[in-house]
Amino acid sequence: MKTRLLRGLAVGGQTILLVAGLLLLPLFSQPGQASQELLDMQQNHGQWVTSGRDYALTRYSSLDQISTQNAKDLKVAWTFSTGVLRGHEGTPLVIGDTMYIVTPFPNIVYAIDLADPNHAIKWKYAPVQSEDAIPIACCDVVNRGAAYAAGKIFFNQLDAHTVALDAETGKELWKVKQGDIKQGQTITMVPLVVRDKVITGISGGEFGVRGFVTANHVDTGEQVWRAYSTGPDSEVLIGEDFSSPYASHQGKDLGVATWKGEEWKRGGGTTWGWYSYDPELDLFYYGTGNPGAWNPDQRPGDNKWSMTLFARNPDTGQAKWAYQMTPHDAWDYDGINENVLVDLPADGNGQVQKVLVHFDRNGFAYKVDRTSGKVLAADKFGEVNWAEEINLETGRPVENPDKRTKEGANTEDICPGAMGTKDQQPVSYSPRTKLFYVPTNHLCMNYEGMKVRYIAGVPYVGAIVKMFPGPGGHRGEFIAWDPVAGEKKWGIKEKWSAWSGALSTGGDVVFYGTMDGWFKAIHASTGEELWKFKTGSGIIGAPMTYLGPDGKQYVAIMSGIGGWSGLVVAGDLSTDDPTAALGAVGAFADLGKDTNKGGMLYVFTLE
Amino acid sequence: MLNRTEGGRRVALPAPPCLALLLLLSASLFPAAAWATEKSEATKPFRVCADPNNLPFSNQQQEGFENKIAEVLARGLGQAVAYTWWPQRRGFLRSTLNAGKCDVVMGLPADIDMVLTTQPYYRSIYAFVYPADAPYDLSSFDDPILKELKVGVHLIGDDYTNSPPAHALSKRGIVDNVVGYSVFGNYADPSPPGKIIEAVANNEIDAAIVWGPIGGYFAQRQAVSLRVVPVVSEDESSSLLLAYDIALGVRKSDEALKDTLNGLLTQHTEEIQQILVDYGVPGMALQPAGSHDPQQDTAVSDTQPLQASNGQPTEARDKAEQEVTNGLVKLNPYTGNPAAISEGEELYKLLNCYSCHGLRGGGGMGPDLTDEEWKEGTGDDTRVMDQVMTGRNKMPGYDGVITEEEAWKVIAYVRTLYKGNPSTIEW
Repeated sequence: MKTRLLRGLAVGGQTILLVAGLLLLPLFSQPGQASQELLDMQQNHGQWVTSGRDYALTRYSSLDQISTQNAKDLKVAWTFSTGVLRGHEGTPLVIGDTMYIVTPFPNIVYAIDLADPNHAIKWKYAPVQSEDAIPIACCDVVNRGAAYAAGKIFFNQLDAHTVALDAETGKELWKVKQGDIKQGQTITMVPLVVRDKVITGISGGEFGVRGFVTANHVDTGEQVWRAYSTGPDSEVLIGEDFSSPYASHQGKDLGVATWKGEEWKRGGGTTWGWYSYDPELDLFYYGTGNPGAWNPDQRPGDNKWSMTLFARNPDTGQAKWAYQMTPHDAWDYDGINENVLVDLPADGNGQVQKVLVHFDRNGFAYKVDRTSGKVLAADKFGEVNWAEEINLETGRPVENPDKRTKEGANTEDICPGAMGTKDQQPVSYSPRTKLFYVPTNHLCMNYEGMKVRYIAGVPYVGAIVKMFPGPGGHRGEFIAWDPVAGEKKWGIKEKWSAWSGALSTGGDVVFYGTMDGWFKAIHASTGEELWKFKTGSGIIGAPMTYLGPDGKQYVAIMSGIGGWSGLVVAGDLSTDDPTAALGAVGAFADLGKDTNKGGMLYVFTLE
Repeated sequence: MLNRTEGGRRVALPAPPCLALLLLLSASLFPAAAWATEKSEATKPFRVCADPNNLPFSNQQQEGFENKIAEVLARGLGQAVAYTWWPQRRGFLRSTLNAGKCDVVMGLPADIDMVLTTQPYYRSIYAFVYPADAPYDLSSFDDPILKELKVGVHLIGDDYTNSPPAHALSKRGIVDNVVGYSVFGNYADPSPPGKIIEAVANNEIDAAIVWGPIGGYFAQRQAVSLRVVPVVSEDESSSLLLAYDIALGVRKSDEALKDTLNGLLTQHTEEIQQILVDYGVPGMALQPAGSHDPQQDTAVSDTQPLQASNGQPTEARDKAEQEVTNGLVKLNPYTGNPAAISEGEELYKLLNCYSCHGLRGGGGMGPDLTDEEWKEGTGDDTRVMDQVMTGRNKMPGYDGVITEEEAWKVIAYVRTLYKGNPSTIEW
């Protein structure tokens, strides 16, 4: 570890300062200090210690050996087969000289020795978990990776368990059950560690799961708090600290009052996205998912707090603010996408605003004051026709009534489709270009609500959805987004949805992958394609970069098609049923011609 | 239609229609499904598995002659009859008697292998059924007039496997004027096997050749007078069986119960024969004539006792069974029934099936239901039923959520989504 940190000194000047400070700190601090330790480690851009690289989820690394000049010379350095053939949505971690990856179900964790010339497997942890979890994973059996803190690796199993492993040995330290697969509860997300708490969400929005976020003690796994997405304030953990600038967000027990009857008990609002944390404000941020069922007529009301951004205190779980983006959802615009924490100049007055930027499934890019929950701007970043705009006074969308879906009627040509303008694929923000790099979907849909009966452990959907390519026929676009101006700077149209995450670097090279398996290096300012490599399977993972023991910069990506969009290939689905995979097959039926199942880590470097 | 069978499909070895129900026995025993277990009762009942809609043999209102005979036997034991209802299709014995849901099954061929059988309690034969005022007499497949008439026969399953009479007619080149009726008919209607007799009464066909008990029973219930004339045996060298000894079946381990039942059958012979007469069952001397009085097997209708050829029945049936399990019979009462399939589709939506499997079965969270891989991996409809109810760790079980009847309808709908090779259909 120490040699590793010293090696950072060889990197650009920016890193030297940061590493110098880090050397003064104990390497593995006490649990209470875990977030300080993580914050310090995040300053070393040669490592990748949390899935978004930093708590702000920028997915930006200052490493700059790979530049716009030499990216064309990138070559495969080494590869690793995960042995699993489902969707690989995760990001590897690099801590010291070890890389950690988590596979899709059965969620094998590998520690790979980067110092070993053979990249030997240092340890492998293969959990024993019930296969009953497989069929209740709505959108393939993906896993988005591991978290690190205080010498431990934390990850979530599909069968709704959180596990802590010794980072050195792979020994299981504890394992706790967060949910019950018999109730349709699974977990695919990567945990967030803040101080002595590991914070996880839950999946199952298509099963009427009532969403929640749980904090467990990093040493024991003991549950510290749990905050639900629906229900009375006492269970949502809305108390005295809570405030909202919007009238529709004020009042008691809105998590009950904005539902008909007891629908809130199966009201969704699951919590499966990427979580960010602001150490200064001591708040963490996440979004909640779609309300259950997808048939809106079955659950009149705003359906709070589904489709909501939450800011919570990590020690108590208490909400500081909440903002519901899509009240009474009628499109499955699941609001779980990540909130990237950036400080941006305010319009006109030269001041800096602490904001979070959230590219929502509903097609609006929200810029929210992360101290108060007030929306500063909301701009369309793709094809959107369900709403005209977001009213910044009320915080509510100004809907197009023709596109609000209903039970028993097929509402046609709604944009975006249920996968949203962006799904889970995480964005990157470069402080150098001050641009967001956003992998997007370009899909529209027909949507017909249907009455559906709630049965525990069985899907609770109630909608027939058919998705199809948006205007122009392409299904995705990788865009650069100016968050200050609220507009797209450039875009690269993709045949398929850009379902991979983005990475930006100090060399002004941006990386992303495509569902047909291309891994691409792009000029961060111009969008020019600098290099590409066709991997063995489609890419839905999120790339990362690290500094190897040899001092060279490496870029790594998991290749393995799947996820909701790629399920037609990963799950061997019929290509004849456009409604299959909750409407995904309509848009992706021909994917199997362009790629095949796989499960490989690819690592690239300069020659 | 029989000529559909001729249109390139394999012609199975003959199997008699009512018996066909019993021949569709898969060799492998599948573990008993837990979802339809009868409640145990304090006083020991006489537990019988029977088809709930199969007159004249049995129905849920207990109006069939096998129901009546069961009552006689139960009374002899001082017990009450407790039924487990199950359609008599392939998998019947596996899913009922051999799954422990009951102790006795009525009306099995006396030499069936899968169970232990008692002594026979009646013997019957195929019979011609035609209007009493018809200007012809029928008693043999060799009657030349058969080539002129429109003749109805029972066929098994929805791909019209031949029953023995169909086979016999076909052997004689009597094909074009033969009309096939599925012995399973539309299970949503009462008494599906009776349709063919109604067709005779309505002059839709000139004559029917059916298993005796079916002919005798339904002929009595038409507005016009019909004759029921047992078929004269065809040549002795044929392995075609037209007459069968019928017995009770118990589990192979239940020797004691078998002995008890044999005693009861002997003791109550007269009562049983009276029931058979009441139901118009064309009877014959039991084969072999032995322990009980063959002459008491009253012949009804205008027939005389006949000797049926006995050939090599076991071998013949084994072959027939093999053909049948190779894929020619449906198990689901609603297969091909448009109304039930439509209901099944609505249930498929209401119960969220489509969320995992797609509206057209294309899959998603769950597998693609339209391809051969799934069909082969899952098996026949009874296994799909088991899958639906228990989940078998692959999906949420629907036991307690839907009724068996609803599940059959959903399965009937799912089968319409199949896009694989039609010649491999065997549900």
